[in-house]
Amino acid sequence: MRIGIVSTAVPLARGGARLIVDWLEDKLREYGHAVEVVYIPCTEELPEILPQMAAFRMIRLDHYFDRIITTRPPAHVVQHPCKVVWLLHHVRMFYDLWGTTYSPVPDNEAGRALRTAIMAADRTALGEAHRLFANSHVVANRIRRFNDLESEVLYPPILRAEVFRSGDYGDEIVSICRMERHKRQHLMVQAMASTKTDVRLRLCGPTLDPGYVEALRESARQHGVADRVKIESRWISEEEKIAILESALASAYVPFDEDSYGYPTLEAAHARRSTVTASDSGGVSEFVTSGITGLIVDPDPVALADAFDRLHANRTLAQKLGTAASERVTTLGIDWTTVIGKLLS
Amino acid sequence: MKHLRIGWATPWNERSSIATRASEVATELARRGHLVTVLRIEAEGARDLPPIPAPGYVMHIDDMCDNTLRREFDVIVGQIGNYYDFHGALIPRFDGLDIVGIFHDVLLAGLLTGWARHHGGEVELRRIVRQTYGAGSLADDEPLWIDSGSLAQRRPMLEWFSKRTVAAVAHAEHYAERLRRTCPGPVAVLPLSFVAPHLPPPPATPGVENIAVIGHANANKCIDKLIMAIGASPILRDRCRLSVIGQFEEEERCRLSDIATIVRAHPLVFTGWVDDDKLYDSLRNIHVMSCLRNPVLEGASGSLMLALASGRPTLVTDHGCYAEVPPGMVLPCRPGHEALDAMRYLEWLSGARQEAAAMAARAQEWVIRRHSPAAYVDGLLPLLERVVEERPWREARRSIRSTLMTFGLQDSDPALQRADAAFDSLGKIRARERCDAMGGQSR
Amino acid sequence: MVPFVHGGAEELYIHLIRNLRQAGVDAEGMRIPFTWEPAERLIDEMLIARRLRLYNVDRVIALKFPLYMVPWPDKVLWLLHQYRQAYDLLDVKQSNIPDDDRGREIISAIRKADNTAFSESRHIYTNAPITAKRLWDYNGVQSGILRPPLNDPELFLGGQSSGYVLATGRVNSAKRQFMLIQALRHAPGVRLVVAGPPDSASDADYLRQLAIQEGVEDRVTFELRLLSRQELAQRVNEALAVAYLPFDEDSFGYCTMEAFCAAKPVLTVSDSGGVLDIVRDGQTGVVVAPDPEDLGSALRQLAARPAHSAALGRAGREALESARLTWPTTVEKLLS
Repeated sequence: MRIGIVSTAVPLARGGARLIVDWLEDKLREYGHAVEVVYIPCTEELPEILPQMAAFRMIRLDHYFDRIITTRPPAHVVQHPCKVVWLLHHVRMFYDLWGTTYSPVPDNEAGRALRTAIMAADRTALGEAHRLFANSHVVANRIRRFNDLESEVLYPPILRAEVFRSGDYGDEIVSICRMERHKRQHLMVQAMASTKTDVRLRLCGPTLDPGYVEALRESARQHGVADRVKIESRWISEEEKIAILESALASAYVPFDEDSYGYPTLEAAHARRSTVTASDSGGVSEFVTSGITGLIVDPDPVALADAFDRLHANRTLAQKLGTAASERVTTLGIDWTTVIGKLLS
Repeated sequence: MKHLRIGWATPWNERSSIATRASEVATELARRGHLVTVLRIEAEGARDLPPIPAPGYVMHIDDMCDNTLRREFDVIVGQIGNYYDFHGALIPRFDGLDIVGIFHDVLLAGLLTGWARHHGGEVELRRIVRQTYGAGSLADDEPLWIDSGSLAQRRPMLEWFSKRTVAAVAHAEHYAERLRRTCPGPVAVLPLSFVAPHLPPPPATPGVENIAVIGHANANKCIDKLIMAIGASPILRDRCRLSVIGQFEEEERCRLSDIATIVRAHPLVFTGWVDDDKLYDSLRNIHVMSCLRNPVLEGASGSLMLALASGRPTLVTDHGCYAEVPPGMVLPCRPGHEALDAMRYLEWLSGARQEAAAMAARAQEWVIRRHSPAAYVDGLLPLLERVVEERPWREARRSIRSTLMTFGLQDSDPALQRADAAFDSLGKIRARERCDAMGGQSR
Repeated sequence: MVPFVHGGAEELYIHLIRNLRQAGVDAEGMRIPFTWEPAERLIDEMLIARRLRLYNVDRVIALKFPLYMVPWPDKVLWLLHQYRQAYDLLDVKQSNIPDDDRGREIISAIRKADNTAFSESRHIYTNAPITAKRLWDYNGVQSGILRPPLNDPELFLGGQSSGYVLATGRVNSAKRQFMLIQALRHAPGVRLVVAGPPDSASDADYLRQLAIQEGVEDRVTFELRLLSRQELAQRVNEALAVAYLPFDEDSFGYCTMEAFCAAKPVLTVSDSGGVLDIVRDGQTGVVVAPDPEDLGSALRQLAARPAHSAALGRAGREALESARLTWPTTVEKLLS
């Protein structure tokens, strides 16, 4: 089958949305399909959004591909008679983030009208799809609530789960994740000030917001925890990731209302590491059950500190939760056979 | 509750009756919490006429560029009437702004002609006529100006304006269809807003019928026919006296006076232009109003509103907006037979004072209720909200079209339609249903 | 781009990104499917390109119509060719754009949009003098010439000749491998290897039949398929000379560069276009009229004087080196 994977992308910006495309491309080829990836550059400047969607919609794909799979929004507005949408998230500033400080869309007539227009366009584009998948229950619920459509949850696996290794449980809580404000690494740094054990924190990942990383470093200095907090603001290779997780105590992932459980959670689970997350982190709780596959605490530094300390003080607990997390992957069917089967149905 | 920032583009002086209507509506909008800014659109000398009181800021539209207007207002509403000096500054703004057009007149050729005086003259006008109504609408040897009735029928230029608006308001059904065919957005029919002023009741003077014609003494007001109706009836000839309250040209005054002399009717009284207070005062001794019109050039008639609100029996020609008054409230004359019918009605009136008064009272009650600014705003707001809601789509279209224009393509190029189709296929219509269904959730 | 089509332009694209990264630049390629039929569609394609929005980059390097229209303040064009059907191919009636009023509107739109894109660019490079000439003739735009370098020079190290003449490149009638087979009759004892992918099965069949007809089948080896780069390099490295006879080629041609890189002389003909910019008769190779007899005589000479042939080949390598056609210099120019 000739398959086109269509996604939007910020040039040179890497991250989970890119990985899912790259991995899917590899896997589809492995299954014997001809695959081309089309990355469309995309901006979120408000006046550009609708014209941009119209331009996407005009791209002709039907005679080149038997099937199109779209991932990052608003790539799903492209037209194809056999369009499969695997929605990773909405353009969130118009959806769940609307009305919060995370959204630049003004709460006035113009902002509301634009929001209504985007929602309508999304509903059309999602509604016309041959199959509609969401990468999590959070996204599926938003599709139901905001677009009035039903979708099926299809969890994204990582490319090669088998490469992860599990060694001794060390004293480092790790966050291997883009460093952005809504990922709230700052809560982790602040938490370190309230810990009572020798637990350490390691934040690593690339950023589009160098100011945020600088603020994290400053916060670590101010709280006097710089010696126990390691911050590496760069792209982390797979090999490094494997090594970091191999000896970690656990993973921490406390984004604000994230759409899915997130690759950091899944990668940790493959390395038999549990995840510490927050009660308002959204889709993470689809994977993490507190006390079973990780710890879910209030989104405040003291509660996080307590969770870090619990794991540090009790390696048996860290190991028990980590093992359960690893088993959870199988239970949820987070694997490529499932994914490819569904996307080509 | 949405509070719209409205740019109210309108004449704003005492001489414009459209300004009076527009100010009543603006006041009602402001009363409901909307921010109404008056953008005056008078051209030429009329720009300097003193402003009438306003519910918000007043400025001239020329003082703000398109970008500022787009940014400052959620929606811009333009009052369109057939008089260049009062409405001329609006014309150059249609290309750059999304304007909701309130169409006060059907015939807008005068407005456009005024504009063409500075923009290409008759050559340009003839081009615009052909562009709007087809190559066959104006032969090379045919004069541009023909009688106003034919003009209103064949090329009123209404369509040239309505095509440039994003939504339109008609004040009567008789021309709404023309707007629906040409305006790219929604069209609403709203009865003209009219706040009845305090008017003196009709006098109780037996044996006399004072008849008033209000407004500019144009040929289409059928004053000549009314004089002939009076002159032709021995009963009416002595009883009836006719006053023309409004502006007049000397030539027309002579013509009408001559007719009166010939048919041996009482000489006419011409007041010339009067302000509203004088106007109301001069109704003190009037028994009957004449709103005969042939042809009908206006969308809705302020004079008709005033006549009905005054509680006086009113003669109308039974077509256009004048035919939209329910039966039993006016004295409808058949178009083309105004003189004969008017004569019979006036003769009937002299013997049926009570019935006539009852009819006038019904009309008075009806006009005040139906034409209240509150009712007008009730109808206008959903239209404005829809225009505001569709604004992102319109702006996106405008933006895409402007890119195509940089390729040197014409406005009518099929590529523009294909781009529009891309937008349409994203389901603008469903957007509305969805929005309605979401109700409060989206706020 | 055209999905699933992989040719010279795609190779160039991949190697450009690879070499930018090697130069320490954070680079990423982006490609949008392009549809040029019917001609109306061209306007939509330009519109799409014009309405895409970039950010998070410093410089854009744009290669192809219409994507080079994407707005960006610091944009460098490396033009492999324009949409030729709106330019030179139109003049020779080889265009998909109809010859009517609408066609003329489309052409005017393309040219207008092209000129806008060109005027917005910081630098414009073309891949060959002929492309630069077209750009000047049709658009009045000056451009620098930046020939695409060989992607894998490390494979073409040269070596001892095994005595055969090698014809590389795509196999079709415009590349005129058939003329070499006809020439063999006039070059007794000379061996020819034709190695490259045929455009169609009939192109392959025709050559095989021709060899039999000409009675030279025992002296021709056919490898009519896409060879791996290593296989191809091995054939070049062991050849006496490379014969490359395209009709009116725009550029040097990868075949020429591979031969020179391996210090092999190039046999070509007088109407091969851009190839003649580097292949000079008696200096870096042999140039004759496009005629089997003349070609036969040239083949004979090359085979009869292997030392002279090798000297020509060495001069070819020097010519290539002095043209500084390497990726590092190319990348440097594109980033300047």
